[in-house]
Amino acid sequence: MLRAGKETIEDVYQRHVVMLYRVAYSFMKNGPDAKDMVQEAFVRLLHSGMTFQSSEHEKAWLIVTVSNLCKSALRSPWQRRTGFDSLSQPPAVEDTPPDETLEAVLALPEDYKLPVYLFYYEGYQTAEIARMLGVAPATVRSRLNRARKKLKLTLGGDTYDG
Amino acid sequence: MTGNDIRRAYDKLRPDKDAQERMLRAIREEAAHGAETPRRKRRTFRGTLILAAALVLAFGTAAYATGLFGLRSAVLYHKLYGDTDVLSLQGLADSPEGMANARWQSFCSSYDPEGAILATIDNGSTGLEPRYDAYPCYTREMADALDAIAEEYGLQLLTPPTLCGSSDPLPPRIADVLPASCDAYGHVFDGGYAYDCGSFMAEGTFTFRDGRWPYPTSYQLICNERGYLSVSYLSIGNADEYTQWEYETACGMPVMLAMGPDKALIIADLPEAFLVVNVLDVRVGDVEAGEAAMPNEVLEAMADAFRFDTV
Repeated sequence: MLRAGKETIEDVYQRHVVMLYRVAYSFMKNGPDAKDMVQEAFVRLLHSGMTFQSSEHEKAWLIVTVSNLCKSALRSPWQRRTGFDSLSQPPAVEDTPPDETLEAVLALPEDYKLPVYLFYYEGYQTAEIARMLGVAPATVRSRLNRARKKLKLTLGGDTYDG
Repeated sequence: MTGNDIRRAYDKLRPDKDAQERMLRAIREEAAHGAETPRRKRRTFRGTLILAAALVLAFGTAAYATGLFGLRSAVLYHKLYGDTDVLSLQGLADSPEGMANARWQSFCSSYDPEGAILATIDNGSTGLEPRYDAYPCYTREMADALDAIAEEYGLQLLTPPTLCGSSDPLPPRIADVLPASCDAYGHVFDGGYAYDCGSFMAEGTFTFRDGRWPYPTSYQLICNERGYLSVSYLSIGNADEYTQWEYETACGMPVMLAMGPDKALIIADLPEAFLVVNVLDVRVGDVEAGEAAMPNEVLEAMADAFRFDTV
């Protein structure tokens, strides 16, 4: 049980798997690695014995954890070579349709991607994102500003918060 | 491009049903096998060995626990999100600024835990005065708690920050502290923001030209003036995994340096301000080329580049 009540890891999995996949894909830029990261995040949750005050805390923990796993994997080649051997799957067909906007978002610097995803897709406020990432709200705002500028440069046209 | 375009792009991104099933099956297997599988043990062991070898080879000299102050003394608390120690960016944990931030974080952890109040406000106005704009406050209750904490610790509130773009003229206080490009390295200011009281955050990138570290290195410098309530913090992973040592910079300022698994820190505990440089990209590489770890000497060279004596 992960929270008060009778929830199982499968309940939590069904609730968050797609969201976590999007976060992981933002970093890893390919489906197989993103799936490895998502799976590992749930395994960590399983082994941590963590209980959460609320579903929002649970979601935030998973987002931060999968982001950290992705960053570690990208920076630690030994982990990529050896870490997921027993979980490896047959080579997967790339399961993401080409999309100009998505490519531009994925090309953003690492620090900008998560705020962009959390702000535009998940609808978090800058203050919430700041709390989640452990940075000042102004840092989140400036990263969003710079991300918007870069996206405008990449794609042309106007960007706004809408 | 609009926010809707971004949402539509992410909408297309989802694992297919088969993949979701495979992942769930693997997680179920983990659940059935118990907390420690051989796979997890093997990876942890191997990772530890490689990290230890890299540290010995790259650093050469033995580091020692600093007598100035240890990284632990700047850790505010341990955070469940991401399972990480949280570093104070305002002063050591027992300073008025550090204790005030810890108090605020404690308040936030129990206030509006489901985000229900925030959801009703959405992106609308909070109705709060501009004096709270520098803080993640969205109700009068939060503003009152902030005021009470500031009063208890004798601190002033920060004014709203001014954003500085990479092409904007820098406020003198920031310009004085930041590195200037020279023969040994190039430096680019990437952006930041500044408060009226002198506190600021600046992001930049070093590129060493003498081959000692061939990778561009990004950093964030956070400078917090004493006497002001700042509620920012930095997640650093496990503080005990950092190698720490004292160092005197080229401008004669004593700092503490800490090299961790994913980032490095330069910390200056000065009478007027507390400065933390969060150095990213200390461990880089790829599957083909192998991994490289930033040597201690490179971190010292970065510390030398900052003019902490101007603060």
